[in-house]
Amino acid sequence: MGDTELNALDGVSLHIKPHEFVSIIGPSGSGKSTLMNMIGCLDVPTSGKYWVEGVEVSKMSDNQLADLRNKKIGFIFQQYNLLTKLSALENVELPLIYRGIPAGKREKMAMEALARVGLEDKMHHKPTELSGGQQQRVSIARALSAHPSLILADEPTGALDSKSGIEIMQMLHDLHEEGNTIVIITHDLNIAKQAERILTIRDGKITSDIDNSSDMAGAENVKGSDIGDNEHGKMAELDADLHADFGSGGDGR
Amino acid sequence: MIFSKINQSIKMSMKSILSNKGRSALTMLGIIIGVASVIVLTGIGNGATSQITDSLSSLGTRMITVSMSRGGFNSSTRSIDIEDMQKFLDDNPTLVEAMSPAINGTVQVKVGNNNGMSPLYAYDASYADIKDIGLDTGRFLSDSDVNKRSFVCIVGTYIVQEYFSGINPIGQTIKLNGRAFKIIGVYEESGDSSETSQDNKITIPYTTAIRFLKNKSISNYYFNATSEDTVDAATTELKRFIANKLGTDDGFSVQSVAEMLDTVNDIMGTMTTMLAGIAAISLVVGGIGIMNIMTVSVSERTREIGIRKAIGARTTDILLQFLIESMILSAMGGIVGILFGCGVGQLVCKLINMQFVAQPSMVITSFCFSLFIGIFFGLAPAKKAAKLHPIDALRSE
Repeated sequence: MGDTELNALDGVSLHIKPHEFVSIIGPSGSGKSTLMNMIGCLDVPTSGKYWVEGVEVSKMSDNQLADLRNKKIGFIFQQYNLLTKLSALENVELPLIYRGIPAGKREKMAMEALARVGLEDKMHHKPTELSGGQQQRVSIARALSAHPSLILADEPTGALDSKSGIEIMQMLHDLHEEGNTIVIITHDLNIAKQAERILTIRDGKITSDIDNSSDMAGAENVKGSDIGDNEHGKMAELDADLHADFGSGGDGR
Repeated sequence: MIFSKINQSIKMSMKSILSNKGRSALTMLGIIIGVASVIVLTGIGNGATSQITDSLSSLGTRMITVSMSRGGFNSSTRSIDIEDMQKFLDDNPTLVEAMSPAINGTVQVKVGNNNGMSPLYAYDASYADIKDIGLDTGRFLSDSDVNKRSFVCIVGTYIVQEYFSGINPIGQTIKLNGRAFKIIGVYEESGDSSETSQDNKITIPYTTAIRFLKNKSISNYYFNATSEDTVDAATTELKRFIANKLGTDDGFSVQSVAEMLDTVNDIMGTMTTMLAGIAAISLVVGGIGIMNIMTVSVSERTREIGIRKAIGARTTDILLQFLIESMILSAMGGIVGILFGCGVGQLVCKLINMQFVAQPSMVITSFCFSLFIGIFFGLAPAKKAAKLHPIDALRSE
């Protein structure tokens, strides 16, 4: 590469408001995974700054980042990323374990989250005993169990058949209506179009930022503020001004 | 909270160990063999020590032996005789309470046409006060036997079997070096009654022996200290007394059974420690096995580590999880090794007719050592796991 500096993200600046439903769309190699890693606090930018709910993340240590992910961010991955040796319930409990919540309360919270995704009857099943759609619902329950500020979904329907994909998207819509802030990373325009706001990323730069909520915006806003006190309706306010090079977790997909 | 995290780590580790039973068992095998060999070797070593000390103690822990070496340069000018020793006994009633001279030799035994050689031990009647003499039948030497220089003897069971098969030996006549002796007692069997065992022996009064064996001088004197607390003082006093009489420190030795016990314990202790040290090497090898498997396990579970980190596991959470896993492996190996070692030790000792003594301190030490091995060798793989970057870890398949 010589002296040429390759940036996975270059001058990305965005602000995500509480209760927003944002999709980030871009082709492979566009830098969207790097952006997701930044938003999800899995990585810090080489230069630039990032705030989550007014707290600057860019200079945090690994342990501080771990705590932040644990409290503020619920991940939904394309490959579900469930631990295969644990039951659905144990998987959902995992973030609560790392938060140090006592066993009894933990189990109750995890069961609530599983009930929310309609899998209370499957809580003792191992992931391998569940269908893809069910596994993704377990991973949504895991993301929900710790009541995060932001639900970050990376190609949530990418590994699913279209029927399960529709179910999962419906679930995300429901969660949004309950007041959750949701960011979806995808390369699928049909998925991206379902969000209120669509960000397009190409070659490490945001090339468009479209407001897609014109027809429903009024209703959404009312709902969002109505449920503002609800613990599911925690607010996320993200501010980012990012630069990241390929050295630190470049776009590998 | 930290307790609940450790508790959680233990649960997770148990899950991972149980989900890989075969591999976990093989990993533990190294520790099992290491701990078991430590337990077996020290158990046998301790058993041998206690066997030797038991047989020494049966001599009586109050016993003091004075041995005179013959033919020394200084033996011609001055010597110790029975009167000197009797004087010491009379002058030190607080230190010693009994004394018997001893003459050792070999005699030709003849009964009818049957003859052979047997060891001869000549004592005073007071020898019975010093050492516990187990008699099968008859009686031991009396004061009058000694004073009258009687031709009487006590024989071992070999003599009875060899020369008096089927008849009561008490009152029978036996010829020693051509002189007729009357058998007054038979010793209890202490070996297997063979010719080479402790049961081939004949005891006569020392007064008879002095006259009868001619040139024989008294080789040993046995004393009994008044109590176990006076043994050391009596030994020192005897040494001083004899050295004073002879004008030199050479040509004799004074040793108490207690001293001999100390020496034996020292030697056996060193030997047992050495054996345990050699066995501990295999424990270290077992530890390397744990490190090996934990390293493999970390790279196999890279994705799992990534998931855990993504959802909020701190570096210490991951470190603790893997460290506890290797500790559980080594601790379980240690427990199985202890049980296995005790079983094998008992069996081996039964076969070679020895005592097996598994000291609790040794059991605890070897368990703690195996736990330490688990921590020591588990640390590097656990650190490796803890340092993984969540993104890199998530991306691995």
